[in-house]
Amino acid sequence: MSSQTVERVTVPPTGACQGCAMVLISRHALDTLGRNSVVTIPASCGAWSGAMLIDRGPTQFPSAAAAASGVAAGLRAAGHKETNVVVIAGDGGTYDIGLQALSGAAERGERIIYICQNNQAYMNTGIQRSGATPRWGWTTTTPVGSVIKGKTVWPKIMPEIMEAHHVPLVATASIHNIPDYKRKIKLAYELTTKQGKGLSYIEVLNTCPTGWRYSPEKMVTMARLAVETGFWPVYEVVEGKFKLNIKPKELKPLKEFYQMQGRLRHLTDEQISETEKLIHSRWERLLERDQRGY
Amino acid sequence: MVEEIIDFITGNDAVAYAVKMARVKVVAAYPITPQSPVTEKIAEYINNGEMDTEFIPIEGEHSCLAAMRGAGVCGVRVFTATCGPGLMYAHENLECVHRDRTPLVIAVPNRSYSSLFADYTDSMPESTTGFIQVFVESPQEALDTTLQAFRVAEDHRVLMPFMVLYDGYVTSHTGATVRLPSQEDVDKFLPPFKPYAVRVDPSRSEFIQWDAPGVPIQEMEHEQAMENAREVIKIANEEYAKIFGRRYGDGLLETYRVEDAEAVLVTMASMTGTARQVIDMLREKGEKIGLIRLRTFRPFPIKEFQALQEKYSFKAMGVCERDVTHGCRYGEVYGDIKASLYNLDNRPKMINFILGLGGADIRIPTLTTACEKVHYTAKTGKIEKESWFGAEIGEVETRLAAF
Repeated sequence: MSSQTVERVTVPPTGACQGCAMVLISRHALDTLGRNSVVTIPASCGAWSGAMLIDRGPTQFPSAAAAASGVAAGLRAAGHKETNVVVIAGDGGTYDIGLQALSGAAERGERIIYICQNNQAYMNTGIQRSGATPRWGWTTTTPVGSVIKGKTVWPKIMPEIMEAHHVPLVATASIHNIPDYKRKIKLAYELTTKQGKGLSYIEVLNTCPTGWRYSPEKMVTMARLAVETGFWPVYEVVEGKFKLNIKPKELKPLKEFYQMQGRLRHLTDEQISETEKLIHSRWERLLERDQRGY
Repeated sequence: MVEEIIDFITGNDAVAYAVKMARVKVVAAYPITPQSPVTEKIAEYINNGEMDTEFIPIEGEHSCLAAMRGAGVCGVRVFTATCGPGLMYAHENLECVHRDRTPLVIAVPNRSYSSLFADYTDSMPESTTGFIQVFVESPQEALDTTLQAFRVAEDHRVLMPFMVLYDGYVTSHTGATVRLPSQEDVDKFLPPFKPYAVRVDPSRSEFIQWDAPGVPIQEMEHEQAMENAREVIKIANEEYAKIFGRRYGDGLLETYRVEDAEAVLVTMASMTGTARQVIDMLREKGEKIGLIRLRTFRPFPIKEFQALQEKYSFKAMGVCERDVTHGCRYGEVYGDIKASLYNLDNRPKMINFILGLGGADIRIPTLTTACEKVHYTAKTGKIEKESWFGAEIGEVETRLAAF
């Protein structure tokens, strides 16, 4: 990034599943940031990102943001003042087991670019439910049984938790709009690495054919539908300024999107409309914020 | 040597002073009693501009050790301190430090998991994590050992992390006269950190694909490193003595009045001071009894124990320690000494004393009773009972501080 040349940092092949969006998420982040970067990847599908031409910081599952804090301090102490310190973690390593470390790092104003590739379950360990799994969604630990059908509670809204930390950048992104995602990565470089204003948090919906139960060639279609239904709003909060980046004139009905996924196909119409109600009320809130600008 | 300033400070302050003198580059820490004063002092040094150090006031010990790993792989000198439940909470990342071969130094004022006070139930479960573990007796030794710790851990023959262990409250919070080495002399003893390899270095022009051997080979290498540490600890102890005039036995073990002793007591850390008094009293009565202080617990001084036994042919040995492995009815140290001496033809009869759990004071009457039992076994060859809990030999459940 400091040198503006476009140079591949990630090297194919990867060990990811066919049609895995995580590959695009890590590739575009790291290729945009360039060689003057260090990446920390906790246990996650990200571990299958393939070879990278940059050094990796070591970490255990719960401590990615803490380990990256150490790397950032170690690099400064070693004289590398403007190196990107990047975390690429899954939703498990962000919403659940890694939340404490992330919250601590954000509050301390650590100069870390934290990317959450959210595929809404523990896909790497075999599709177990996480704090990001949609309500009523099937996973191997929330099976659709004869009595209890799927996950019984709503997921967290992680970007809003991150906003409450007063970090310079909180943004969501979608892999169907790579230019928007890359712009946010560059913004993170500017705010976090260059200006040292604190942690940047970017969360991308990682569409997952294996865990969501749909056909791999629909990766981009699924990502687009998630945004167009309001299931995955794409927005940014830059130093307190709010902007809704993708604003469909009207949200598409959720049913079609849900029906395309094996994990959500069993939902009743009532359950879908209850989910839709929640999505729409959040969407209204985001539109208001967009108008207000904060 | 520049004349040392003599001050009256606690063990915790002595450690913090050593960390300042060692010019540590990154410190992360989380508060826990009785460790907190170490990091408070370091924060004071940093905020007063006396230390040029990155300080990470982190949100928990698990994260703390993760941050220390992260900083360590950048090739800079790193330090942290924790104890008791904090040390246990950090276990997962603690286990990883030696796999990075990061020469991290941790100060641990030992704290029980069942009270705020000293016993070794916090550090003993970490004895398999690849840390060098040295138990020190006094604030002075805590200072000296912290300086030696960096030198030993960073030695390219070793590159294993180092735990400086001292008794919570008894040593961590009790004032003592401590000689403070000058920066000039410390710099002579402890040169700037030269990493063997820098794992994370964005300025390299070419990317290095690190190729580590598989786990079985790695573990063999780490065992060799610990083997080397035995010698390097001894050398550091001697080199330190050359500059500062203070040495602690051979660095691994310290003996006291063992010549012609038939019975010998093994102690650790602060209980040793009391034990010396007991030995003196019994010697005056004509009893042939001596003392060995176990300073270095990991790597375990196997050969050194064997050599002492070969040399003095103790008939009985009593091992005092502040920890117990439930279901075995003995402590970690006892098991290790017994294993070390088992193959000798003239091995001693052995008795274990599990004392001071939860921070109970280890007093003269208790240690006198222990010595008498060892002495009885030395005289008669009989063992009344192989292991004794403090309460069984008159230990009173009292603590240094009344809370």
